[in-house]
Amino acid sequence: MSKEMNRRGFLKALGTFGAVALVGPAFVGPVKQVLGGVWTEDEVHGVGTFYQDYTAENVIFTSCQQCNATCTIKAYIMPGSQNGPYSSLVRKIAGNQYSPLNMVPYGHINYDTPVAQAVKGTGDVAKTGRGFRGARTCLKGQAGIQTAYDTFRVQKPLKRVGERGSGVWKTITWDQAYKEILEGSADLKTPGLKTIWSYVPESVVMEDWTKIESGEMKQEEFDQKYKDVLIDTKHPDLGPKANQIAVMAGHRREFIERLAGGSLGTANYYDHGGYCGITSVMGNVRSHDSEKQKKRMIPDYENAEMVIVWGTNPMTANRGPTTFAPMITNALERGMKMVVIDPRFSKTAEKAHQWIPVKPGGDGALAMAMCRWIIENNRYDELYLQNPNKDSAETDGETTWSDASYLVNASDKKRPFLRAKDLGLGAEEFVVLENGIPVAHTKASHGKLEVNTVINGIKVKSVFTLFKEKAMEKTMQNYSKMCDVPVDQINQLAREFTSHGKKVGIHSYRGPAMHANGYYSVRAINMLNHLVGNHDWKGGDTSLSAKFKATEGRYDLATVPNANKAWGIPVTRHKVPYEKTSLFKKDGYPAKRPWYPLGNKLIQDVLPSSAEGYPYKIRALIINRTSPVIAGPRSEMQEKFIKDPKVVELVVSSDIVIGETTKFADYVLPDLAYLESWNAEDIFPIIKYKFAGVIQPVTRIVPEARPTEQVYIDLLKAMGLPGVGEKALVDGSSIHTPEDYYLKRIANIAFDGKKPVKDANAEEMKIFEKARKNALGKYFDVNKLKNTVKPEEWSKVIYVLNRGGRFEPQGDEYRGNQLKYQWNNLVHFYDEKAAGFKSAYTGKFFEGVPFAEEIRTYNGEVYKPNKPLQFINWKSRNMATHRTESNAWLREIRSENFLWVNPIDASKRDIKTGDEVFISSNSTKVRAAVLVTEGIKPGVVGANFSFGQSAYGSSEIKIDGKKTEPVKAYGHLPFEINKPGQEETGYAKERGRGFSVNALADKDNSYFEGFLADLLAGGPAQQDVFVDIDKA
Amino acid sequence: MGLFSKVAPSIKEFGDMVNNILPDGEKELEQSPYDTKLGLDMARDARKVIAGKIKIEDFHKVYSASLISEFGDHFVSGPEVSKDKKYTGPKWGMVIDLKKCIGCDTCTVSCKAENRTPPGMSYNVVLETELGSYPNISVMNLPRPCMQCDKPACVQVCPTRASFKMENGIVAIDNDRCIGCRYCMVACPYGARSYDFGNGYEEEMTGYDEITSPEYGMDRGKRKKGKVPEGTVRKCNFCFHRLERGEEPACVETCIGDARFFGDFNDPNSVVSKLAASPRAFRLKEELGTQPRVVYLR
Amino acid sequence: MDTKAQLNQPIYDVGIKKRMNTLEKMWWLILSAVFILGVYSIIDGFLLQGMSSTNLSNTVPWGGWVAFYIYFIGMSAGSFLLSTLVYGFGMEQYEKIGRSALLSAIVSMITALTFIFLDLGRPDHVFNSVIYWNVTSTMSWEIHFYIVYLILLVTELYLTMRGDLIKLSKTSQGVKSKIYQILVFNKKEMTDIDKGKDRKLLKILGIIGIPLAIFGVHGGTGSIFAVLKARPFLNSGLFPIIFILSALVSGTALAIAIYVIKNKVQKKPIDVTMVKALGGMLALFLVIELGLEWYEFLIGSYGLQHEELATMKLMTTSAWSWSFWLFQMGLAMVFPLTILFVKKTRQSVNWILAAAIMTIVGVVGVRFNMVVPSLIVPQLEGLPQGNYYPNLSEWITTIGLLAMCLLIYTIGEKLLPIEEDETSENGVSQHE
Ligand SMILES: Nc1nc2c(c(=O)[nH]1)N[C@H]1C(S)=C(S)[C@@H](COP(=O)(O)OP(=O)(O)OC[C@H]3O[C@@H](n4cnc5c(=O)[nH]c(N)nc54)[C@H](O)[C@@H]3O)O[C@H]1N2
Ligand SMILES: Nc1nc2c(c(=O)[nH]1)N[C@H]1C(S)=C(S)[C@@H](COP(=O)(O)OP(=O)(O)OC[C@H]3O[C@@H](n4cnc5c(=O)[nH]c(N)nc54)[C@H](O)[C@@H]3O)O[C@H]1N2
Ligand code: SF4
Ligand code: SF4
Ligand code: SF4
Ligand code: SF4
Ligand code: SF4
Ligand SMILES: [Mo]
Repeated sequence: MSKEMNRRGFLKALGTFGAVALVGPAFVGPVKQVLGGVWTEDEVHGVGTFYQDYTAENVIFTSCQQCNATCTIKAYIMPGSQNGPYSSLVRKIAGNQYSPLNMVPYGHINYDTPVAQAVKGTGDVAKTGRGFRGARTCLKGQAGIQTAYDTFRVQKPLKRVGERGSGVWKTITWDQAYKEILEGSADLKTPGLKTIWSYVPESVVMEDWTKIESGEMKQEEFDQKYKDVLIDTKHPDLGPKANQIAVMAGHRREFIERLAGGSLGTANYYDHGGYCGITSVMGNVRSHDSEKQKKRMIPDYENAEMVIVWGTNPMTANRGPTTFAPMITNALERGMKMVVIDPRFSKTAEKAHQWIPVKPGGDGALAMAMCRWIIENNRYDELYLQNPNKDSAETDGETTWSDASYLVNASDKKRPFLRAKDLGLGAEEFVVLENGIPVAHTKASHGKLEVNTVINGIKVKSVFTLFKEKAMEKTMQNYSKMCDVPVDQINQLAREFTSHGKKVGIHSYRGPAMHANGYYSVRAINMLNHLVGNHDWKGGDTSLSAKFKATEGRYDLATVPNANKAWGIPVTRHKVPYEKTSLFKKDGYPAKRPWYPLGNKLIQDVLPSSAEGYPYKIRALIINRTSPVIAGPRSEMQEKFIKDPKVVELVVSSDIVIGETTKFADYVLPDLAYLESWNAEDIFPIIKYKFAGVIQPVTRIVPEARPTEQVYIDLLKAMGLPGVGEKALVDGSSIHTPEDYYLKRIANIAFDGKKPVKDANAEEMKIFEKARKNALGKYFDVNKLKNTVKPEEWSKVIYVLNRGGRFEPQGDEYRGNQLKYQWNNLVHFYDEKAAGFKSAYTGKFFEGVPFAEEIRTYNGEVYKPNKPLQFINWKSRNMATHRTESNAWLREIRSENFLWVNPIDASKRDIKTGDEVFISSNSTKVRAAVLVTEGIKPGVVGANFSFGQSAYGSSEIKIDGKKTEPVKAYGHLPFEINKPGQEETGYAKERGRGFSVNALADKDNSYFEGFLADLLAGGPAQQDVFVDIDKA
Repeated sequence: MGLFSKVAPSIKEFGDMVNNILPDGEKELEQSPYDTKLGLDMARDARKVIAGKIKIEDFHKVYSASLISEFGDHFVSGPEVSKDKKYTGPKWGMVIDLKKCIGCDTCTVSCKAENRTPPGMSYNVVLETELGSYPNISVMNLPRPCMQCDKPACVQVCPTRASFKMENGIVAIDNDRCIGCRYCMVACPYGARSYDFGNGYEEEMTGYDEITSPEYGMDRGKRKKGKVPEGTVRKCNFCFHRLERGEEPACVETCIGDARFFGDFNDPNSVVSKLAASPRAFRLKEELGTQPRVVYLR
Repeated sequence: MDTKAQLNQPIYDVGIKKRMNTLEKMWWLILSAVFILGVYSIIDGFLLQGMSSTNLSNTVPWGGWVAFYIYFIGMSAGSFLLSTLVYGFGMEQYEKIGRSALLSAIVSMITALTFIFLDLGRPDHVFNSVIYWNVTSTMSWEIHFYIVYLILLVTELYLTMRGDLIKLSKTSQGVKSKIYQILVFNKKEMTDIDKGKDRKLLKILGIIGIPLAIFGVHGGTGSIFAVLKARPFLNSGLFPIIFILSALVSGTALAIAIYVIKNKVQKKPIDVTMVKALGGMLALFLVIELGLEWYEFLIGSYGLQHEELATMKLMTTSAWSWSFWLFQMGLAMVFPLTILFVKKTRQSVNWILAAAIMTIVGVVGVRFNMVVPSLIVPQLEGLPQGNYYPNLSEWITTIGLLAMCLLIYTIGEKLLPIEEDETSENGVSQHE
């Protein structure tokens, strides 16, 4: 560096002599200029030859975690100032050119391209416009360094001073932090994990419990035996006390979930899934055979003729605009038709041929109306639907088949599928009617679609009949009213959808799902795919299963030897039918709080459930990178409870900046940011190539930070629990650091498939080390990494790390007219499980086929909001969830969330763009600035949900008596030039502007501190918010 | 000033004039670890080059070896292409397909990240305009880098020729020459220029000041108060430094709508030349005669 | 108080210092105080914070200082043109204001250049604007014109004063005498031949100066704006002419104001005929200017050009429209015109003075309206509309520079024989 400075000095000095040259032009200049053409300068000046070029030794490929799409990226590293706290500076982030995610439509470069060459570039800018030295990322990805180099990063472990949320902290050592978390703290009056934790295997308890039920054992005896290990000896099904430690993991999930479920043995492992896509995911999963889960509905954009984008915004959100946006723009250019169903004119709608502003929550009605039209007009693929099994599908050239012809036992209240054994035809096979006789589905070649009869005294209906009846239950006019889409438009859409054979698809995600009727709406949308039978077809529906195996192969990373296997009822009562619990025996209907048989990881209900003590209280909460306070419904309620030591006695949060939930923690542990750490977060690959991304450190900024994994390793080791420390893995290897785990994971990836990856040659080995030395300095120890895997694996591990993952080459994407990676399985019109579940309030059975459900509260009543406008929300175009607020470059694009209001609603209230309004819901009132736009349905208002932070650098904190002021707005102007929609001045506002969307979430008064949620899956009804607005 | 004097000042007179205003070069050179004599010799001969007494090619011949040994390959500059020889390198240009542009602002942010421009300065912006009324509406997204006009209004007005047109088509700014009068900003019909007010992100971002972008191939070291380019005008430069190292501009590399194309307009077979031949092609404010090198497809 | 004694006792006489009245003391005191405040503001703002001490932005990169810069350029050219009536065309009825017009032209020029210097982002690079000459840049030409023009003005003033300076070098004492001696190159006597030479030279300079001032300096400054095709409102051939007209307007008004005020303060007789003539001239210029502006707006709006209409709309209807209606249309146009047309008022020196002052103040608004509104309107639809008004720091600096301007002028008046020595002057005219 100093040499550089001096070089500049030298050049400057040269300049002083050279300046002679500068005076000359004053006189000759004009003349020369006139003679030589006035535009192009005769002499180039002020232009040098320093291009800041780089080689593979300055590059590390990793993955972006700015949003949850986890795109593969390339980080170009430069040395920073010697006295900086960091090991290096990340100069620039770009996409990884090896990876299919970032290279649409060009296609990723050959996996075996040497890194040196790949980093030098394999393209030709002049001719093709591409150098291929890097690839695409979205804007949030580009700004990532501002997340990592945020000056507000937590530097040392912090302990709260005063009440929770006081904003006052003191720094403590890691040792003290661990000690107090484990043993408890006298001054904070928090219990230690060691005191709280206690475990006993389920089998042991249940053995004794059956003895009680049979009278062999007395309750007192049982109480005595288990009072120290069970939460409630009267309700042993609640599980061990370990369950009172709840884990909320927003990232590092693979690692933490393994330990939660196998080491700590708590049934209360949560991730952000509960408020992210749970309802959509379950709607999809339950529409397909559940053996392997099909979580998403994504079309093959590259070949589709027509696509419906239904309540998702792939151009800017979803699982990666980086991949989807170029896919879609190129598909449109190719001639693909696109219809967007969304109450607002999203960035995707802008490009669509048709925008259908559906009434929020009316998606089920719209889908059912389309189904009705399709059935009435015989536009479905009848032959496809008749196929009852793989063989018959195959003779049709199909790879999937449906349950349309399967018979349902209507005599049973639970309305299960009729099984072969019910008719004495076999065992668990389903039954279809072929040529008038019932046949096990495996034996039939075609099942009759419409059946309504009695067999052996059992009333049966075919699934198709059940579905058709449901579809016909409402008239087109009724449906039209429910979704507020004209009948003509519905018909036209249904016709269009069924006019492209198998080359149609639907892309759907959170929009239709995040309603109280979300599960049924998502199911109804899935039915459209089933009706045309587009699964696995080129241009049809995709199944996204192409991943390299990461937790098995060379190393079994999933299993915990001598595990404390988690069991018992999770505090959010997901995945458990109420009727099977001991609480049902005690309370009957209605249950105090809803039970969600199809739910999972319902993070948003942890705090209120614990507050009610139903089914029990949690005592400790360990959190990383997720924030129920701002991401869960009813922020104020969430905040009230996390603040209350009676609701949860110990709150530990690993965070990089003190966030909205972390702010209420007892202990804050500084985590490593995504550019500093190992991790494994899988994108849901939406691509046709087998894929495995890698997340590895590319720099180190906060010297004392420790990754959350390390915290778990250290704490669990101190508690003497399995799965960490010595013999942490089945093969006997140990886990003392995250590297011990992640490098093995890379080895698994490297060796998966028919052939492992190549070995890194000497040059690549050298590049590997040099790049990491440059990037990580003293934080890099090659031997430490090397020792985590077997010698024969090392060079392959490097091969994968050098490329930021493993990516299948192009050219093998299809099998004839079908995709190579297939669902190749059964798809469901009927959800047998749902049909067998009951509402824990009313005790009434749920419906097994999709239908146009209304918005209902827990008690089963149709929700009657007392506010005139429906409030929807969506992902900010320029922010990702709430964790990119530190990125000034992103705030420059837009610093707050505006309330979108249609001119019709605006003029009624005399509101103009830029005006401030109060939005009031039945929970609270917030202040917002308005954007009046034609791009939202009248009667609906909305905003993106990524703003309104109250922490994360937006409010003052005090650490060790030193105040840290919140970030201020940029710019020197006393007035505002930006207007909503015209924000090009490039000045970011302060952090924490806008309003918290989740503060508004509607209450459900039919249970304690309730909120609207899907009744089966439990996902919060983020879109069923009703408000009024008044000029402020 | 001798403005209208018939006798041109001698080289020596120039030298004297300059030596009086400028710091003593020899002293500066002494402080540098590099060869003082080399510096002095080069300066002497540079003057001769200016005076037309030696050819620039010869100058390079004489010094390039010693420069490389002194500075390593950081200093591998050949003789500048002389005007008489026909320029044969690429003439850069950009094509932006508005049908594909999704208005995501990824270009804007990537440009910030690449060029590390200060707050309040975006070389590229994306303008959004909503048209029509519910439910028949459309939005027009218009990304706007610098057009690198062939007849640039900014260059036309710049009093110092700090702004000038390079033969590769890029309109450059010599920030060491720019006086910060901002006339070019007022003159640019596209609002493509910004003034460097000297602020930064350091308060919110560790290390922001440590690295500056080598705009126009200039190594400016750390960003410091009062140091060029502060106080001067800046703008999109088609990522000249990236082009020179074989990379397309940052915004083109990352454009997630796949709407931005880049390349050599001199080459009729380049992607951009072909796209620009489309009937959809147009340029902004064509009527002003600025002849932008950024072509849009409508 | 027009006793001969006093007339023979020019104000630049050292002796008068003793009798410096309170009014004058106040004048010095206030100006110095304001100037020092201005200097402080320059150090705090311009030097320490740079442009971010202003309300300028990338949307509106030019503001108050540019407006004042062209304001003073206008003043300068106007005053100069007036002086050429005397020295170029020998219209002796205006002789009384000749030197002061030249001095105010110089001082205005210095002030204008100071304003624009403060507006530069890199004052340290300023010489580049002299060294490197861009033939297509109006500004580049201007910079060089300004230099020549300033030299011309100084020479001219010098020549008009040479006789008096020689006298002074003999009559004054101490340092002053030294200064005067140096100024006259130790010349002891002014012969008639010398005088004739000077007159001739003056005539030549005046005549060179006219095109230089009109096309070079003022029309040129107008062209700096008029060539901006990015700003359709400014981009018109009429613009430089309007610019010149308003220069004449402000120059004439300034001359009237200086002459009348000075004489009033010094309780000297006022040449009413001359003032009325000047008033008439001002009226004439105003009428022409009004006419040109009418065409400017007519043709501008006729084009239905979006940015142009937007600029006009902004000027005439926005929150800042008072600056258009009150300053540009009212103070700088309609009010003085009315005064100068109504018979009763146009005969009164006081009213004419009022009209002149109104014009001087109003033209500030005119200058702002030339610079700011067209910059506020975005160049491309979708870019945010700008905003600008000078902030406190800019105002303090501005007022400081105004004080500087007056200080220099007063010092000039004090130090130099600006006030024509009636005897010598009469003598000269008698000789002719
Ligand atoms: N830029 C950006 N990208 C992101 C994220 C981010 O925060 N910002 N977050 C990431 C995460 S975590 C996720 S889960 C994904 C989510 O990606 P998306 O599924 O695209 O998520 P949303 O934006 O929540 O919802 C999509 C659309 O649903 C619409 N919508 C709302 N209500 C209804 C309705 O009732 N019916 C219909 N049909 N549509 C409705 C909204 O207007 C919105 O346009 O995005 C990921 N990518
Ligand atoms: N109304 C409404 N609610 C929603 C949504 C919606 O569209 N509308 N979207 C939902 C969706 S899809 C999701 S995925 C969730 C997202 O919501 P969350 O899961 O809460 O995710 P974030 O807001 O990204 O991050 C939460 C916190 O993690 C901390 N954090 C940031 N980076 C790091 C890190 O590197 N390490 C650690 N340890 N901590 C870090 C910060 O304090 C941040 O506040 O919100 C859901 N909630
Ligand atoms: S889509 Fe998400 S993961 Fe991908 S680059 Fe953008 S922010 Fe990063
Ligand atoms: S990155 Fe591409 S698609 Fe996005 S706004 Fe810029 S030009 Fe348009
Ligand atoms: S767009 Fe503006 S700044 Fe760029 S070359 Fe053209 S006139 Fe100059
Ligand atoms: S600001 Fe610089 S580049 Fe712009 S016109 Fe002035 S000197 Fe030229
Ligand atoms: S070409 Fe480079 S400088 Fe220009 S807008 Fe794109 S990224 Fe910015
Ligand atoms: Mo999510």
